[in-house]
Amino acid sequence: MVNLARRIWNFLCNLDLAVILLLAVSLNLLVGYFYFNAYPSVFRPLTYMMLPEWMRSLALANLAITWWFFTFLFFMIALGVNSFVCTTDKIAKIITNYACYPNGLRFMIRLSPHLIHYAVLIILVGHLTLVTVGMNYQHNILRLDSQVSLPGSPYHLQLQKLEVRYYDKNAMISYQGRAIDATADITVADGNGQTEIIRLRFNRPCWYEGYALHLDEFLPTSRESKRQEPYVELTVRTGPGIKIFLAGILLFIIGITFYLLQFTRIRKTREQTI
Amino acid sequence: MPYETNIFYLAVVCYGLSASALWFRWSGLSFIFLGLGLLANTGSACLRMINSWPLLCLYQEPFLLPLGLAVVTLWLARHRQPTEAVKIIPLIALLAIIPVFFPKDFFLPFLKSHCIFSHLFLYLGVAARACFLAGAVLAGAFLWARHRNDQGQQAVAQLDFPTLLIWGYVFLSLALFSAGLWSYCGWGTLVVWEDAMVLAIAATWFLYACFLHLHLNGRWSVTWRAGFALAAGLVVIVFNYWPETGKFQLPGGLW
Repeated sequence: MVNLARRIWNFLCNLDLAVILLLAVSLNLLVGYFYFNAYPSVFRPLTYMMLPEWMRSLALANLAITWWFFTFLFFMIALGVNSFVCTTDKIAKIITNYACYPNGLRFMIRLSPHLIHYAVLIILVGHLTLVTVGMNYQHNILRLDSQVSLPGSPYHLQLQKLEVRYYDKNAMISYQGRAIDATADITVADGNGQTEIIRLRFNRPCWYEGYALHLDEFLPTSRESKRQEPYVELTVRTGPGIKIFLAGILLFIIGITFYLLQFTRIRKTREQTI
Repeated sequence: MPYETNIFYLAVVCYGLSASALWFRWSGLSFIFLGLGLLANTGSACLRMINSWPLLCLYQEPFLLPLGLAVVTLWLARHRQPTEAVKIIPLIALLAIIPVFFPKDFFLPFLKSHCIFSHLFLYLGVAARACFLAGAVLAGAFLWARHRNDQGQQAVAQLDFPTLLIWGYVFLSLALFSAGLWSYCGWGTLVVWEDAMVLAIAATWFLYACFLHLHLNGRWSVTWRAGFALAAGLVVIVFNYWPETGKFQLPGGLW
């Protein structure tokens, strides 16, 4: 049994396998590129839907168009397992030989390529978590005179004030008078009569009690439409996906910084040799 | 016609003169024209950015890629060998003239681009592709030097093309993170499935990840790796650059 486990581990801990899988994922995505261009309406809802929901509804109903997405998922899972096994194997060896490194910096430099691999895995997990875990409520329209409940909570939201900034430069005449930014003050009321005002800006989500509030659309979008009744449209999301993604980015940056330190040092040595 | 358009045309002329000077083997003059082209291209890009700030216009990459390549070329000429750097100049001239005749027809910024990450995505993406294409040219130069049995050129190109690809990979990774953060800020998701380019960029990232694994572990010979880098450069042109260009039209006040 131990031997079998060891053989499986060794099979997965294989750089040739990584190279084949990376090529397979890349080619798979290029195939997907053509399918996406030919049938964009099948794939565009992925922006607004959770992955399982999209798979159940659109993907399975259009398997002749979406098959590449399933093979992509398969290759990605295989690549993830391969990366995890290879990286863990290498890190275990490096940590075991910690005493061989003259200082902490050398140790970190040696560790850096593997940190990058873990970072990519964390980023991929973040992606997957964001599209599979938590809630995703679209098209929550808030107006000045009506309340909307925050899904799955005792909170109610109402638009208090909307400030819109317009393009005023002369450089792009056809864009003059169009909105370039918006700030919405939103009243949050809980069931006990307590209210709080939160400020939400376009393209700058706000986190409130575990909810991520995104200002998706608003009116007025130009000076001409200023007389229309103002509203904002919110996307509300929950789930830890974005935090995992950010943690992955942070680890990647740490890893790449140490890696580039090592890389530039080796390069200088080789330049001197030439 | 907007100023930035005229200034970009000036940059195209300078890049063209730079490539022409190479034909006569006047590499000094070629670098002077390249520097002038870079100045004009930067001026044009800055004007465009200032005019649309805080928003971002779509399909700017074909106008910015010659700029990125010119920076890489001058860096190589300064820090490595000018004889190696000049090999990139014809590609710069070619890539500069394409957006003059094949601009994409949407030149107004869009509201969702009001985000610092959208700008980072554009500029880091341009830096990445400039490194990839320059790396592909040097990989081609390595293969040519090998064919001619020119040991000196081989040694230099062998060292420089992987370096450029590694930097390109770092820039592309940062560009993808910026894209993810922009998508999250604007749409609440990490990937916006609006354009097939999202798949092309991801495919490019995995392709270069594959190259790095081959390079860092020395599984393939340098010749094979150079061939891979050359092929990957073609993928960048076909799947990353060409979709950003439009249908043929005569030059006018479009940018």
